[in-house]
Amino acid sequence: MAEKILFIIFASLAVLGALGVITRTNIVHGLLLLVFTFVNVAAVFLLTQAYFLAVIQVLVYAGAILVLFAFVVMFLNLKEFHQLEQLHGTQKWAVLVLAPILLAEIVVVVAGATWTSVGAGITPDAIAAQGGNVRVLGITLFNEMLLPFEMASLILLVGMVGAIVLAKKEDGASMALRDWTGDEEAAQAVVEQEV
Amino acid sequence: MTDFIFLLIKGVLWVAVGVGMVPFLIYFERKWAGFFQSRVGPTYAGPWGSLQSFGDMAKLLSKEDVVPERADKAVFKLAPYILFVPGFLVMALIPFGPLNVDIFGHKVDLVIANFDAGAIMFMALGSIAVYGIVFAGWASNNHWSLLGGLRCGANMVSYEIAMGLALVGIFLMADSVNFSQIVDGQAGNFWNWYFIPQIVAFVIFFISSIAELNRDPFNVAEAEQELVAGHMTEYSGMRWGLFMFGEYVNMVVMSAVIATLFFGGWRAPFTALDFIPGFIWLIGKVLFFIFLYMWIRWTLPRYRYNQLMDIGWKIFLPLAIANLAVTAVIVSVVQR
Repeated sequence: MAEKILFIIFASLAVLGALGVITRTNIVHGLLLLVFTFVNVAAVFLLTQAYFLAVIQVLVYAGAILVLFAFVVMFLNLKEFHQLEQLHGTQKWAVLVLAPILLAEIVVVVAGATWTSVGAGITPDAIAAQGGNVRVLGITLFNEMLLPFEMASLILLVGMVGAIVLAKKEDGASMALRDWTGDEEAAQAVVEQEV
Repeated sequence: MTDFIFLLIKGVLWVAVGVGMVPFLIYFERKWAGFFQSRVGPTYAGPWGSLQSFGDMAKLLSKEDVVPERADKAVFKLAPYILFVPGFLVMALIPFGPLNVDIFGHKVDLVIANFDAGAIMFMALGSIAVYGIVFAGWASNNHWSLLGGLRCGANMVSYEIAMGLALVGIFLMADSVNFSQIVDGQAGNFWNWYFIPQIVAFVIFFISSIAELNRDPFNVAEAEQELVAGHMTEYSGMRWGLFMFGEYVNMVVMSAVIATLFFGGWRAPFTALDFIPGFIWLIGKVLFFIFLYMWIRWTLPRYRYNQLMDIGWKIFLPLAIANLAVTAVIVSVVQR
């Protein structure tokens, strides 16, 4: 009973926070509310006794990723941001059509799905007997789920390399030339030639 | 029902100890700052100046609360709380005695929350505390504050990575991420404590924790010569006091975490000394690390910002990964 009440509290706070995120015009307030939403989602995970998942939710999403969001928001000039709104003015009308379609899709999929528990034997007590959340999750990830796990890490690596490539002003050929000859000017010439 | 009452008692006592230490820590910080710099420190209020912090508190509480006209008022007021609430939450995870102790016929765990993923929870809460400083800097609508907030955010995020990787070595040795089980892994005399096999992780963790606490030599967020007071520039009265308060509470918490992870937590250095309660040992270790933080603060000059980043990314991160790899190999060989 107590768990049900707590679930209702945290779930509704999460939904309210998420509503706040999309209705605030001040982007920093939106960001803070997003942190709030993630923390409440973590609380819901806690109620299902998924401790490790809850902690990772806070550590990765609320902690690491949104701090990077905060950096970007602070480096942006918020006045320019309001001009972006005008720039994307026509897209507002497309939303009116696309959003109901998305909603309909979600309703159809959720209503049509048959909900089965992944493993009938997986109860909080059974997990505790096997050495706790973290151990069970780790063993599953590195045995049954090894290939998806490695693929996810590969995708993250590609994302990182991509970000570095996009952020670099120099191209690879001129860098290699400079490293090889130690000649800044020759490398610069290559860049200018290509431009 | 009795469980709940014990939980309440534990919570109130542990938090009261943490909070109650703060005025004395501020006093000792000033006194030691004096000694380290060949001064005498505060002398006026009370014998040896010992009532100085209470005088400070009265001053801060009675000062006018100024919120800048063009500040984002809601975020400005919220920010100090975001900084120090996570610190208190970490205290709930620190064990100050064994589990299942018999007290008046009740089985009581001498830890507020025996949390399955406690040590990771500590990292997660640390990453939330960053927002307090970053948003304080942003909401003040002041160049120095914003730069201080951004520096602090970058600093804390960078050092958290090295810190987290240093922790993994401990997890491998203890075979657990639960603080109580990590302390159990260090049972016996002091040479069983993890700071000996994990000396590299300890050095990385300790120095990173100084950066996390934003204390000298890593307090680039509030570098006085460059940024006035960084994110705290626009704060006054008790709101400023809350930041200071948060810094000291976080220092207590960080010392407790270091004691728990590397120095046996509540355990005595020799099993012969077990008759002294674990709580006393833990507080003693906490005070030792707080002294270390103060000693370092008043001895070393501040690092430049780029040096800070170099240390975090180019020295500590590779070192922590190397430590993790070596630990993993040794642990798997020993366990087989």
